[in-house]
Formats: sequence, structure tokens, C-alpha cells
Amino acid sequence: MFTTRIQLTLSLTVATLVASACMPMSKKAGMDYPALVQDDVTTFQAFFEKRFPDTEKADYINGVYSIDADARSQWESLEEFPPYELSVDQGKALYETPFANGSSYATCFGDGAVRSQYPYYDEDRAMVITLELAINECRTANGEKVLKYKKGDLAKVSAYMSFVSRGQAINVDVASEGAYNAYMDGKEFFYSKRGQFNISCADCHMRATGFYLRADVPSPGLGQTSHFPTFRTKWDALGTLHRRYGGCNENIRAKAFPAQSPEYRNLEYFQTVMSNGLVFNGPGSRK
Amino acid sequence: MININTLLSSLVLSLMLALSGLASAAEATNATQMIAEAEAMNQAAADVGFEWRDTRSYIADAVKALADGKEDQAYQLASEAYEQAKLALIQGKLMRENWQQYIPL
Repeated sequence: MFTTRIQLTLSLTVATLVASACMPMSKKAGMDYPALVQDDVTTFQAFFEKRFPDTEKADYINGVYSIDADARSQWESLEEFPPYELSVDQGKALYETPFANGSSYATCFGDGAVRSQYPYYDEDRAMVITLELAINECRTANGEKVLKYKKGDLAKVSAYMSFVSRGQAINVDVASEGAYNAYMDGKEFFYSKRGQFNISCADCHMRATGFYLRADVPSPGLGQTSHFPTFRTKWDALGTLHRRYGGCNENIRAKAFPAQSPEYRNLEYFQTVMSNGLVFNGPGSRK
Repeated sequence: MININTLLSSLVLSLMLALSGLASAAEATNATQMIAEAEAMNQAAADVGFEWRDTRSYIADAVKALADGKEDQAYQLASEAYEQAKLALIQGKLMRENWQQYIPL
């Protein structure tokens, strides 16, 4: 028993020392944040270029269909009559319907083609602002009730705004210490194993992408935030990115965070930064 | 040749197992105490952002079993919840300190 304790203590000490020696600083004050982030973007995107040399970088906005030819042909057939089309039309009607005070979404977002402005780090509020959060804040600023964040009318408005923004470049800035800290929180989330299955976002969307997990091929992590909200056949409805995050977390038996929680907003921020150089192409359709 | 990631993963796994073995076990002697310990441990896991999906359900089931007079079943369910929460907390602490070791190269 005593020997076992000593062995355990020794292994614990060695593991801690090795891990500490190998671990770089996670957050650096007073650094060139854009350069640090650009290094991450380059490394992240290079991972996929190496894994899938036949896939054009620009095509990653199409998710798993950029790496799975058989699934792509089925998806392209589906896109001939996009299942999100009705939701976009409904979103347009909602967008153009005046609030009770006479204002409308256009008061906040003009013609709605503002997808590339989100997510961003708000220095005054010290937090990441996503498109869905901004939509609800537009409503409350005009005396309207907030909408639910995962599906329904908010997803439809977001889908319409994404639709009229198609082709806008993803180019998220991380230019301050506060923004970098939010980015690093999202990065930590992405790479941390969690849940009873001990699986991270990166395990499925980097390590396992291109391989089958049960009957499905996980999509590449590059380009994942470009096409939301998305109409999923499984949902038989449109859903937001944070709805998908929650579903992913539940699948690995982790307790999901609320949609628009700081955890998911920072994750969206990190993931969108990783897709800098691609374009927004939402809404999308998926299995 | 041993991959550095594999080596680090093994070390961290060893650390997890070592911690798991060294962590104090629940000391509850009845279902009511076990439920309270499970709730406290699960809250600790939630506080670091690593609560598992089903732990609360086990606790809720334990509470219901106890209310139905099924003391043994309640104790077993609460014990399962406690063990899940304990591992979730270990996982959370390990990830908070070592997540950068899991970035694929």
C-alpha cells in the first residue's frame, strides 16, 4: 500500500513536471495579438490542407461535402430545392415587419447584409457579440421581447440576413488583449476534452474528420461557422450554430451550455477566426 | 518512435488515473448523505465548466427513489452520480491546465 502511494505520487509528479515544461503560455499580455492569431490560423488551415490535399481551401465552406464526394452528390441534389428556402422567405417577412414602435430590424442593420460584421469583440462591453445576440438586442432596444436563440423566428431572421450576405469575406479581427483573451477561451474550449466520452471539438473535427464515426464522417473544423443557421434533416427545421454546439456537447455526454453563453460565443469567435479568408455562405443544409 | 503527443497523452492519462485513485471517496453512509455529496461534487464540476450530461438525472432519480422509500436504489444512483461528478471534476482540472497538449499537429 505504501509502495503504491509512492509510485502514484512519483508518476503524478513526473507527469506534472513534463506537462508544465511543455506547455506554452496560454495568454500573453502586451503581445502582437494579430500576429499571434495569424500564426494559429496558418497552422490550423495547413492541418486541413495536409489532410485533404485535393480539397480547395475555398470549398471548406461546404462542410463535410468538401471532403466526401458521395455525400456531396446527394447534397447537391438537395440544394436544387433548398429546404431552407421557405425559412429565408419567412425571415425576410419578419425582417421587414415593423416593430410596435415603428422601427424594424432595418433600423439596426440596414439592408441586413451585415453577416461579415459578426462575430466581433466589443471593447466597451468586454464580450463577443454574435449576429443572433445582436438581433435580439435590436429587438429589446426597440421594446420587443427576445426570441429563443436556437430555432424559430430568430433563426429565420438570421437565415435571411445570412442569405443576403452570401459571399462576404470572413475576416474577424483579434486586435486587443480583451479580444485575445476571448479568442483564447474559445480556443481552449475547442481543444479541451469534455463529457463522459472525453472528446474535444478537435477530436471529431480535426483528428477524425475524413473518417467514419459510426455512420457519419465528421465535418472539417475549417469553415464550420460559415453556413449557419442551417437546415438539418435531423431537425427538420432551421437551427442556429449554438443549437448545434449544444447538440455536439450532449452527444459526447457533456452538459451543454446555454445558447449565447460566454462559452459558446467565445467558441464561435475562435472558430470563425480560424476560417478567416473563406466566405459566409449561410444558410446551409445538412443531414 | 514515440510520438510526443502520445507520450503526453499517456502521462496525462496516468495523472488522471492517479488522481482518480487518490481522490477522496464519498463518506456517506446513507442515501440522503450520498445525494448531498453527489450534488456538491457535481456543482464543483459545473463550476469549472465540465459537468457531464447525465449526472443531474442520476441525482434526480436518486431523490425520487428515496422519496419512494427505495433507500438502496437511491444510494446506488447517488453513488453513480458522485463517481461521474468526481471524474468530471478531474477532467476539468486536467484540461484547464493541459489543454494545449491536445492540439493536433
